[in-house]
Amino acid sequence: MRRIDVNREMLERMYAPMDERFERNLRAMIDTLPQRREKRRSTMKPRYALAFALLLIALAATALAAYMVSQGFFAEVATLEAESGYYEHWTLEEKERLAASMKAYGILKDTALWDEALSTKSEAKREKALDRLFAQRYGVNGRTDTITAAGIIEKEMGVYDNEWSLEDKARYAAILMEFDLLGYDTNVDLLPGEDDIAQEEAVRLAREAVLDAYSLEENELDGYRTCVHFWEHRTEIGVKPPYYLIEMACPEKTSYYVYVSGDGRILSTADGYKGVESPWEDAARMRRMQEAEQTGMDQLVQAHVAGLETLPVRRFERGGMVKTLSALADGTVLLTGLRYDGNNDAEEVFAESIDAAGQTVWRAAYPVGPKEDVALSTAMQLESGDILVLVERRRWLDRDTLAYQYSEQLRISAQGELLEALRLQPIAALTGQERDFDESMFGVPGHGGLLVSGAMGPKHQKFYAQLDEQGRPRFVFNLSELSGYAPYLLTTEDGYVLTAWNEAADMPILRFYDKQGNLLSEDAQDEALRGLRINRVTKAGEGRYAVTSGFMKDGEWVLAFIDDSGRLLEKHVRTFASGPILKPSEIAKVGERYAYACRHWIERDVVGAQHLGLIVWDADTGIQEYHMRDERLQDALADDIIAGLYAAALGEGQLMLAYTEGTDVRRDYKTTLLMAETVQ
Amino acid sequence: MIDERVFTEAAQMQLAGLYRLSLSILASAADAQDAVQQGMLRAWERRGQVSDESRLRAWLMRIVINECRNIQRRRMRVFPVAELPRGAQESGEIADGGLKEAIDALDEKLRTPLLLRYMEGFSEREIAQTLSVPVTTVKNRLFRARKALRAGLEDAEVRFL
Repeated sequence: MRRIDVNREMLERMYAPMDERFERNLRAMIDTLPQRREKRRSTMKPRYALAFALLLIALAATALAAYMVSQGFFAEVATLEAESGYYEHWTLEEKERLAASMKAYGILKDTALWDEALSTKSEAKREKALDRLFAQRYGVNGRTDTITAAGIIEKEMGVYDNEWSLEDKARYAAILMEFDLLGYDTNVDLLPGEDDIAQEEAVRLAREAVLDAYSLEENELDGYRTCVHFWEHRTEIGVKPPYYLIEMACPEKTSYYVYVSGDGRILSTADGYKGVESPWEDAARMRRMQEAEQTGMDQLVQAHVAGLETLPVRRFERGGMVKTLSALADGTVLLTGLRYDGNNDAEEVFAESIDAAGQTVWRAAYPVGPKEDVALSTAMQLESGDILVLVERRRWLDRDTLAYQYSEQLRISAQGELLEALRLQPIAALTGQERDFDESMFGVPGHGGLLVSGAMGPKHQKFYAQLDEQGRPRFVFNLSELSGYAPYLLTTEDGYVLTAWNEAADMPILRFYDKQGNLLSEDAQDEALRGLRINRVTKAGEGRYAVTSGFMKDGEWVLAFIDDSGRLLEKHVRTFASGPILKPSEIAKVGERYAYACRHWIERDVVGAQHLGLIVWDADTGIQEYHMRDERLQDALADDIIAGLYAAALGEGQLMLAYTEGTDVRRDYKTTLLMAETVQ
Repeated sequence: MIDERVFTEAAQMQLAGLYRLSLSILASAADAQDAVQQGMLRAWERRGQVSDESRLRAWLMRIVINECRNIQRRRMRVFPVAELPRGAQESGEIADGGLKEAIDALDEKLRTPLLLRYMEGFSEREIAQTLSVPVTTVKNRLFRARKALRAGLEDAEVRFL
């Protein structure tokens, strides 16, 4: 028998190495990552200028001269970035000003080259000389487009996380906040107060906690460096007291993180801070994972399933990748998606009406052009019975050049005849806001036409536009005032509900609109809704809406009923698993019940053990999970990619689910429809 | 959140492996370059999602593999096995008794865990984290991959050292 010995080097040689030039550039790019921020050009508002002046006075008033260099330097650099954006947008005068400040603050040890550059008579040459010096000092690989305020300051003061004092971190964070240079989803360094324990005490407590939680000996932490922050998440400032983060890190070993409150307690998830858990919880998580691996994930799934009621389901198989599933007025479901024909290297958009027996009533197809990239985001049925499908078409000339990109509305009759392919207006025309380039448009079913959304204007503000059936905008919702609150506009039976999330207040924001887009009521701010992050709204009777929350929060599913001014009427909660819920389908109203399908973890942190369940709520039994008796379904969950999970109610209280499995390489996608008969 | 230096060091260290695996999936040097580059940028933006250095390697690999899949979708490319480019084989550097063809002929579902295990030296647990599947599935796929490989090599005895 022939024998082949395979070693790692042999396998590595099978794949041609990276192009040297590409590799060099890529490595340089990785080195510049810490300096990358979103490119922008901001303008300092007058109130910031005043605040900044006051801040400088306050800083100057501090007595410690040693701080003055860093304070002044922080302020100078932050001002430049706040006023003028990144280095490549700075004027010659601004560059000269910073260079002069660097000299004044004593940052430059050898000023000869800088003096020479600053005294060059020709403006063009002066700027070129300064660019070269700034790039040499602060740019990565001598490039000016990698210079940022953070990079400049870290160059002069050491690496922020590891080498700065708590005072410097807090001061710099305050300046960044003041100039709106700090992101919203970030922690903010602060200074410990008089009542807070000292940094050294926090480190001592953290070390003890790590030794205890992970059963380590003292010497096992030798070689670990300690990094300390006193901070909290930006949205929690003023809501909860800040805390110490003590990180113990050692190359090629596990890092340990301990969160210590100002009064010396080791914080845990019970304290409810963002991303905070105790070392004991972390150690327990690692143990759970190891135990689960030894026990076998399948056993965990089987044990979970044993506790559920099992539903018989019928399976109907289709080719292609499902993109939408919705109920049609004739009692069938509409399945839309993309299908690839490998034999002819051709792709098509398809729409298919399927009855309760899994039979195709009609099928419409629309070819995708050669080398075209098509996305399909929504489908809806008009009152006339016609169906609208939103597709986006793109074609690339080469890797970097887009030949075209536009959205198209396909109109299909209730009998499956393709009536029209209408090219929609670009976002700039829909919203009246100029853009350098047009971005993707997404859609959901609206009233009398598609409700499309995207980013408009030079500041990428979120908008929704309700189109009529001819693709003309009836009205546009500009949601720029809700930036940072994750706003969504949801269509309901009799209008729209806008939901957003006020992270700092831990409260949802709700606004109700009629079908013409007129605001009916807003923000009842009912305390009973605290913590309810609403992401689905369904009309549930006169003046009554069913809302759901918490899809991604620890497997907890909430279904609540609110009135049309946002006041809570009823709330039902059930936790299915301690891990997150994945890929939830839309919620389908099945008779008097609400149902959706989702994947969820069986045990917290045991990533591998997942179940695909059907979650049903009704007034009598509350929320229940059902197991769908279909061997292939759970196999697909364990073995194959499942792209999307969709649910739609049929007549007679039946629920149809759709998901796609297959491998990406050959695009041999296969969509499966599952009919759950007994959900009613 | 992972320390910036830890992230960049890990990314630098893994770069060649990320590229090799992308090439094994996309079979195009240009696309593999895009996948690694885009994957690095995406990973940087999302570095807050990973707090444990021990999971960083698997996490980076998962992001780049996802990027490979995005590229496949975006560029509408299909790579029938017979048309897969042969990498270094084109220059005749390897005399592997048809091993490369046999590996390329494996379904991606089997090929990726095999290469992660024996080319990149990932543990079964890391492969499970990378591919978001249970460790038992990884074991099963590795078993099936070795079996398929043996069949593809006309029942030759294949030993992974």
